[in-house]
This record gives sequence, structure tokens and C-alpha cells, in this order.
Amino acid sequence: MSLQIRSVSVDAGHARILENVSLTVHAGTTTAIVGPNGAGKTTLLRAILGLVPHRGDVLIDGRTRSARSRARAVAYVPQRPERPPGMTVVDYVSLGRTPHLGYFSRESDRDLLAVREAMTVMDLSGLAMRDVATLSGGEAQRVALARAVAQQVTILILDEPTTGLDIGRQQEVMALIDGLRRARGLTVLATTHDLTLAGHIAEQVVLLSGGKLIHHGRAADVITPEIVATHYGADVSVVADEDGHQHIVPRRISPPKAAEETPT
Amino acid sequence: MVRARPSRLPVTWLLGIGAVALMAVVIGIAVGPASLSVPDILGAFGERWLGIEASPGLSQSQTAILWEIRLPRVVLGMLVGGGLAASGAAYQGVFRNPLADPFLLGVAAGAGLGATIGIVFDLNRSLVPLLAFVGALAGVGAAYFLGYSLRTGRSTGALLLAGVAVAAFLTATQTYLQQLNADALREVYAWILGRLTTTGWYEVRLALPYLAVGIAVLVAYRRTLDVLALGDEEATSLGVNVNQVRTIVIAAATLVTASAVAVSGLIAFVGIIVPHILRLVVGTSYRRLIPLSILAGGAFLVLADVMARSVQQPAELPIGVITAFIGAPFFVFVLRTAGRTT
Repeated sequence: MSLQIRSVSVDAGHARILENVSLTVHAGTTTAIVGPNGAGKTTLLRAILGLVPHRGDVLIDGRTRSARSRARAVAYVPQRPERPPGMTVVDYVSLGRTPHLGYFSRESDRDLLAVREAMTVMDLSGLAMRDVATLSGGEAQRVALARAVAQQVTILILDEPTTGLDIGRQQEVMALIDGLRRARGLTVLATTHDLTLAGHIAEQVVLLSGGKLIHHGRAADVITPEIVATHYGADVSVVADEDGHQHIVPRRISPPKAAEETPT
Repeated sequence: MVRARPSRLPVTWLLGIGAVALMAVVIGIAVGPASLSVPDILGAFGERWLGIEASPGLSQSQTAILWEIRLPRVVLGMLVGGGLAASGAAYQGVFRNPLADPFLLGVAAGAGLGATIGIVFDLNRSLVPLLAFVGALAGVGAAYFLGYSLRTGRSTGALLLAGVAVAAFLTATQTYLQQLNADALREVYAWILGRLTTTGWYEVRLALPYLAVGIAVLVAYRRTLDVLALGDEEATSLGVNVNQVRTIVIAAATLVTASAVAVSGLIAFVGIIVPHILRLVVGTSYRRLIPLSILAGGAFLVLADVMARSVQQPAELPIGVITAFIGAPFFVFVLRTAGRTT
């Protein structure tokens, strides 16, 4: 399913957090949202999910949706998913079936099948009865993804899916997400601070800054040393490898301005 | 393929706790100033319900004691205990707080004030549950609003402190009212300490409709309570209307607490002890906790009532004294474990 965002604005009190953002994510593609801290990345995701009041329209396959209908089409993995102490992994994953169930009904055999399949895909067989609060960061992310898989949606929204993971787990999680996208034709929308990663996974990169959509397009056009310097205040090189992927490398460790400041 | 299944009501635990509840019922009927023997009790049940002619084991007065005094009291104990335990579990789920309890959130104090108004102003006794309900709703509403507005988020501390403040205020108002009317003092006092005294089936009939409706709603929402454990945002992203669910569950749990308080007074700690012991044995899923709390809470209260009747024979201790005596140390234990895991 495609996702269309039309002139979405979000206000918090008098502050405008998101201003007139329009964006189309085509079915079966991956879009990465990048931008400095406070750019409005998470707020955009929350607006799409109906978690914050907003102006403008969010169209899923061309139409606006009720909360329940949206939950059958869109799954959300927040940056730090809540892990209620004492809840088992299998119970946690089964909550992904919620939009497919009535408030009062319990899981049918078809729901149980979806739960088992999701756990198998995410390789959680050995963790089924573990308490979710005791999982490591990488395991927790796999469990959260399994819940999204059990939700059987076509659009997957992820808020910084690799933050806080070691480099091995980062690659593992990204491979799982990309595998899901290919196998199920998912549409993926993810925020990230990792500009190299954004270029590797996404057909479309979107740069938000100060609540506005500044650039969107192919990674090579959006992530340039000039744009990164302007919006992140960072000094970076963009290096292309033999596969044509670009790598964003910091040119110095301290920020450019700090070096010029005289100590007081 | 993964073989594990999501939590369901485990039949073994259901049968086990059901058996304990049945035992509690029989003990509750047998023990008292005029003791009835267990075979005689079972015989009398068999005769009344199954039409089996039993050898005449019970005298006429014993039969009257069984059907008009002991059984209503035990049934009321099952209803009130089950209701308090299930609503305690539901409050803990809705507030995502293992220490939430009708008696810490201003619910019971509000119900107490409502019922005292009914008693002191000598209103129709059938209005007492309604007044208790209105008071309970005001109590939980004030605690929730206050806790929320303290802006420390919905953290455990803010909500509980707000509940304590609201409860203190409502209790003070209630004490003032009861002092105004010395004639009602005894009735109000006996009621505050909690007791399961019955006049035939009157109390059961009075509370049953409210308790049945409220408990049915809580049972229906048991899975949704598990979804709420994920927090408002994730629950919303799963299509749950969080505010609507919260309102309905709080209203149902408050209805249950209020009707329990209206017929049996303030029996503290059942709503916290029973769900917590169950959590230790069957896990934290509300899919299990809510239904099992009803049975276990009922059994617990019936047995507590047996203790209340036996300790100081022939006098009766208020049952609230027994539950608080067991519950207060247990509360400290819960505080310690909750502090470690959350």
C-alpha cells in the first residue's frame, strides 16, 4: 500500500513542530527520514499514526482511515518499545493481533498461526516464554518486529530501529526489515540518524529540519557534504564504495564551531 | 515453528482454584456458633438441588441456619471478595501500576462517604449502593485528575499520593458527617470496619445485579488490559481507543467496588493481595488474572470471614481487621518486589 502525506502540520502549544509536510511513499519501497535532533522526525511518524492531533491528510492507499482500520494496515515500532515486566514474548507478539480481534474476543486458530509464523520469521523460538523485560536490546527489537509481523500490515513504520544496538545487531535488524519488505512487499518508513544506513536501505531519503521538509529524493542528492553542514552543523565527507553506495564519514571529531571558540 | 501459545485461562488453575473456592464455601457454611457437619451440609444440598432424599441429618433450625444465615453470608463473601479482587486487578491494569487498589485510590473512601450520607440522613437503604457508587466515582476521578495534573507524568508516586490525599479528605468529611449524627454512629462504625453480616438474602439481592454487570465487563476487557500494558501510544497504534477503554474499565471496576463497599463496608487489601499472589503463580497476563481473581478473591474473603467469626467467639471481629492484618505486611512485600522489577 502507498502512503501519502498531504500538507501535514503539527502544533504543540504555540510552537509549530511540523509545518506543511507533504510526502509520498510508494508501495513496496523504503523511505528514510533523516534530520537533526528536534527536526520533527518522530512527530511526523506520530502524525501518520494518528497519535498527535494534526492538520492535513494522511492517506493510506488513497483514503483516510479510522484508528482500527489504520492499525490493520500500519504497524509501528517506536524507538523504545514498552516492555511490560512479566509479559512473555509469545503474549507480547500476540498483541499484534489486536486490530484483527474484537475487544472481547480471543485469538482464533488463524491468529495463533500468524503469531507463530511471526515468531518463526524473527527466530524467537527459544525465547517464547521469556519475560520481555529481561531481553537484550537486539532481542527486544526482534520481538517488537515480530509483533509488527503478527499484525499482518502492509506498511511498517519504525522510529530509529537501530539506535542503541551494537553494529552487529544493527546489521541484523536492518537485514530482517529488508527481508520482510522483500518477502511481503511491505512499504517501509523509518527515521534514522545513520546517514550511511539511510542511503543503503532507502530508495527515497527525506531530510527534515526545523519542522520542514527540506529535501527529498535519492540519497546521493539529499545527503551531500553541503546539506549535512547546513542542517547538522557537521563537517563530513561522502565517499562512494565500489558498489556505488555512499558512506558518510566525519572529517573531524569536534564540531567546527567549538574549535574556534576561545576558552572562557 | 514456535509451539508456545499466548496466555489463555489455564484449565488446571481454574479447576484448582475452583476447588479451593468450593472448599471455602463448605467451611464457611460449617463453621459457626452452631456447627453443621460437612456430610449433613452436602446432604442438604443434594436434597434441595438434586432431589436426592437424604437421611434427615439436619434439624429444622439447622436447616434454617444453613439456608437463611450461613449460605447467604458465604455467597455474599464470594461475590464481594471476587468483585474486590477483580476490580483491584483491573485498576492495576488500567493505571499500569501494581499498587493501584480501590482503597488507595480514593475509590473506597468516596464510596464510604456516599454510603455514610445514606445512613446518616436515613435515606432508603436501597439508595446506599447508588450513593456509594457516585462517591466512588468522584473519589477515583479526583485522584486520577490530581495525579495527572501534578505533571510528574502518571508515575506510580504521583497517582498514589493523589489517592492518599483524596482519601484523607473524603474520610475527614465522612467522619464529620458521622459525628453529626450520634444515633447512626454505631451503624456507620460497624460498616467502616467491614463486615459480612446478612439479613437473609437481602444484601446478596441488593448487590448482585451491580456486581454481575461490573464483573462481566471486566472479564470482557481482560485481553485489552494486556494491550494497555504497552502504554497509550502503542495501544493506540494497535487500534485500541485507549481513553474509551480506560473510562469503561474504571467505571466497571468502580461500580463493583462501590457495590461491594455498600453491602459489606470497607474491606481493605483484598484487591491487592489476591491479584499479586496470582501474578506469582500464573503470570501477569490479565487474560488469566481477571477470571482467576474472581474465584480466588471469593475464596480468600470467605476464609477471612471464617477467621473473623472464630477468633473471638462468640463475638465477631470485623472482617476488615483480618484482611488488613494480613494485607498490610503483604503490601510492604509488594512494594519491595515492585521496586525491583519496575
